[in-house]
Amino acid sequence: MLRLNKKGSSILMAIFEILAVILVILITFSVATEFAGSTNTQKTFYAEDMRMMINTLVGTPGDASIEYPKDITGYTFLLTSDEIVVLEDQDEGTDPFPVRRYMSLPFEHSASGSVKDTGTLCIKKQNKIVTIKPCQ
Amino acid sequence: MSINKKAQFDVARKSIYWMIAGFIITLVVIGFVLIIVNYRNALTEFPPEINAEFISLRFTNIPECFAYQDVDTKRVYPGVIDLDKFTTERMELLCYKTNPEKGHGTFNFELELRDKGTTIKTNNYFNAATFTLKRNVFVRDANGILSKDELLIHTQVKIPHFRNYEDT
Repeated sequence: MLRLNKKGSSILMAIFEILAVILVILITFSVATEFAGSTNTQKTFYAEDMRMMINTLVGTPGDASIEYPKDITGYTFLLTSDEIVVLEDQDEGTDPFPVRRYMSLPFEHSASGSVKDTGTLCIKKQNKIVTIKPCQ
Repeated sequence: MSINKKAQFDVARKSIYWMIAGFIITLVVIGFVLIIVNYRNALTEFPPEINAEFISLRFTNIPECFAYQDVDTKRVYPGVIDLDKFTTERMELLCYKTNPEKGHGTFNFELELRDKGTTIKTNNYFNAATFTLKRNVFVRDANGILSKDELLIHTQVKIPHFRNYEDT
């Protein structure tokens, strides 16, 4: 039978302590790395910008259009009459953390469209229909 | 494997130490995560006044809401409120309506014509205004008489309990 004296137990505890410290450091680093690599902030900016632009168009009588002055490469935009969804383009599957922003359109107004695999985005309001599409 | 008495005491003492240390380390990790989440939320926070300003453009500018539209020419007069249109029913049916169940989590408004004393509100407005926007307007009554007025737009940003609706 293997007997462990005081020195042996101290070594065992030291190993345990080192493992625990390494674990805490790894958790901290993984949280920080995930935060640094996250695109949620950018998606939120895009979604808020879109909502403000659409509300401005809706609040303007007549037809109008806006060209979004930023490069949106790497992101997908989906627009319906109820919400705006911004996703990050991913090689496999869909973005598990899309950013959504709710909006309410006036009577007879509607919104639709999607933009993907492009760097530009234009929002157009014509005959009370708001659409998004790549700029030409 | 067995350990002697001295070693047993040492292990027991260390166990108590690690129980306390484990608790503190857990708190530190949770605190770190909360700091990062708060930082990110602060980074993406938009002043609600801006969003409210853009949404409220429709109230005075488009005929579906309350802007006066000439019946014959169909011309819209932005900034001129048609008093006949200025009703809660029109607000809900034609102008601005939030989701009946979850709409507490987004912008809701109470519009008040200061001099006329007329007030209307959106479907999820619960008198919890965060701020008030002011806009100088003209009001056109049923007789076609124009008068100056001030439109007060009391804005309820979100009721905190429901805030997750906007943040999803």
